[in-house]
Amino acid sequence: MSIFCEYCEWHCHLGKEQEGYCKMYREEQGKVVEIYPFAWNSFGVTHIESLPFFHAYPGSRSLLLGSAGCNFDCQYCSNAHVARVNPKSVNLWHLQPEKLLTKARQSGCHNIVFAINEPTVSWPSLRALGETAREQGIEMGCMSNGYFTPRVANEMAETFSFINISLKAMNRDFYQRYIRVTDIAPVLRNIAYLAEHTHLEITTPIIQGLNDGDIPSAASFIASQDPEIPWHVFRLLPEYQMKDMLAPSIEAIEYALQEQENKLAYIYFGNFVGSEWVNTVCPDCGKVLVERINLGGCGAKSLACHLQGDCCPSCGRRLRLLGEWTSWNKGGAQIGKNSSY
Amino acid sequence: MEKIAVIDVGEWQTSLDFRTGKKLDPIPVEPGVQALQKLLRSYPYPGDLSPDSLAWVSNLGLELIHLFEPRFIFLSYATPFFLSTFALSESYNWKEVAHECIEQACNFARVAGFTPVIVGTGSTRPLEGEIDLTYLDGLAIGTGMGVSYAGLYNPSVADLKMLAGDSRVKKIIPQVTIQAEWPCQPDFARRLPDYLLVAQPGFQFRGMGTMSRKIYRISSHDPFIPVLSPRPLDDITGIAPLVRELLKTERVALIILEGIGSEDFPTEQQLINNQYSWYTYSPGDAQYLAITSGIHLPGQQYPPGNRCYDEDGAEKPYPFSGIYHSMPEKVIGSDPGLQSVAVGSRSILTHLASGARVCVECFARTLYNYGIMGIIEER
Repeated sequence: MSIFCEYCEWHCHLGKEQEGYCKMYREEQGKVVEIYPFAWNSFGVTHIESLPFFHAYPGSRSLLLGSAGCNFDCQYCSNAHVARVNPKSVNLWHLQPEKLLTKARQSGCHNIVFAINEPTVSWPSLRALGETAREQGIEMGCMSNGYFTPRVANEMAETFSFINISLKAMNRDFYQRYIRVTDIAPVLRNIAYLAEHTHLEITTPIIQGLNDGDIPSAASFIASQDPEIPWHVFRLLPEYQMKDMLAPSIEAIEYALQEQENKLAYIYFGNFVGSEWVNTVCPDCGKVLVERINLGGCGAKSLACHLQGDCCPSCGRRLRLLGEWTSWNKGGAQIGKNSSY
Repeated sequence: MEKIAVIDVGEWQTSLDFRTGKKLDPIPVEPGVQALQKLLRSYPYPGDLSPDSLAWVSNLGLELIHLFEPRFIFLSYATPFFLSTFALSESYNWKEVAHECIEQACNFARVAGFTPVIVGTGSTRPLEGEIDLTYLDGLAIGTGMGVSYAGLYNPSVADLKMLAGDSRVKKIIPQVTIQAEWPCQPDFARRLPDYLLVAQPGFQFRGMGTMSRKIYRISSHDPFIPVLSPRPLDDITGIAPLVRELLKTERVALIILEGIGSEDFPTEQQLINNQYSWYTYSPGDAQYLAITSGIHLPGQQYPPGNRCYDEDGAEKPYPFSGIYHSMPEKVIGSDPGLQSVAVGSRSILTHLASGARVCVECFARTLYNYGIMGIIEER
């Protein structure tokens, strides 16, 4: 017997001995099953801003989780050592949801974020973890490439309180040549859905000469969904098959982003140490509301928060924010507290 | 004295307050800072796994001597350790890498005209296996590049029983035993985990914070490491006093070669003790600080397996110094009145361990190359 995978837009044909594109699923008794259920590779404590999420519980401590495999083949992948190798060659360890949640509490984490690789390739495990986490009052978020089916989009919105989708370009040709998938349409469709159903942030890696020309159209697309969606642009340092490419020009990207500031309320630019684009600034009066520092990596670390609740103390404008400033040593908070939705 | 950090990420630079990480405005225009800015622009870091990083250290070292006329220079060549740990053995020739590393160090000292003290941090061996600690009831912390020591917090009786029965676990040491047997300084003592776990040679622990990257080899934890020195030495903590003694009469280069053991070292080497009690040093902050401060592990600030993230809140100073809240004291480069410079491919360990007044190091994190950082004391 063989079936089609229902989790991502590859819709792979699966059999007992036939894995999907991501090599994380196969068929068993007429059902799609995970080959490595509840198997993880990354497990550590990090700042929520480092992932990056700048508008969800800023300042909080996150348990970073990752597994192995991916449904994309980004030619510049930064995490190819887990995403672009056969998962069976990756050191995976197994923890059931209850145990993982215990680890989150033991390490003082406020929330759990699945990043590193694509959550769609470990979806049943993550869904189960998310359900248990919700029961126990621990919020979950994820980074995703957005190439999943409408059913998974719906389940993701139920499972995760905050999601960051990587919008890698605005044209099909880029997705075909450098991501090795057929179409960008599912990604755009899922962004539109998630923008209405959960806290959404968007990340766009820039590779000079390949997708920097898409900056205006990406900003326009995001603004057409919701101009309050935080947009993280990052200076990609290509790895994997493109590691000999030059890093993008910071000044050129800054110039392009400045041109988009009338479209979106929150534009960030990172993945270079010392970036001045990682603070959250009031879109109306320009007051710095959350101070951050980039220490390398696409995100940042919070240094100070000047918000009054979720408002600018200077002009009173309400900020797009899930939850509230959550100090590093605060520990677990309650789901849905003080959301500005 | 305050320090300035100049960060170069390739075609873009910024100058920051080293203690706070905040941008300096205006950017200092003093000659030393300008010289450092120019230097960083000229020497992009080739990367942790590139053999070209060996010459990068030497060339920058010579430039720093030319610009700042130091009496003491600290250099660290970390490429051999990175390659042996993270690269498939088929992708490089170890003998060539080790030979080139030693040649670079010796040539540097000869060309610079400095008296060299060259230390190999010890050999590596193939990784035999991983000890999974994630399943324990307690919380196990295992950080660094090759986790031979892990910290265990709040273990259950069942945890301790299982670990005691695991032949790959060499020792399980309660915190109270360490505090009773070692002269721990207060910061070290308060950061000790409830239990410290020691892996058998060839094994690494996997716990909270363990790198996701696959490692192929791990430190051999050699009880003795090789040194080239103009005078006799017998212990790793004897290096700093010797360098200080030499500095009274000559200019000295203290050079660290990571991942290099006695087999790869020149024959005129001395072997010195690389242990404190049951603890054996391996490439990392404890070993670097034992070398440059002459202080053994219990006199340092951070034990292995500590829950360092608890102290990483918004108020933590020195954002470019990893887990460190203050610069280590009593390291050679910070001696009063000593003009000191440093360069290294082991990122933050270069400035932490050297204490140098001028320092250049790669800004690489878990093998990602974000550029270079220069640090200079404000005058």
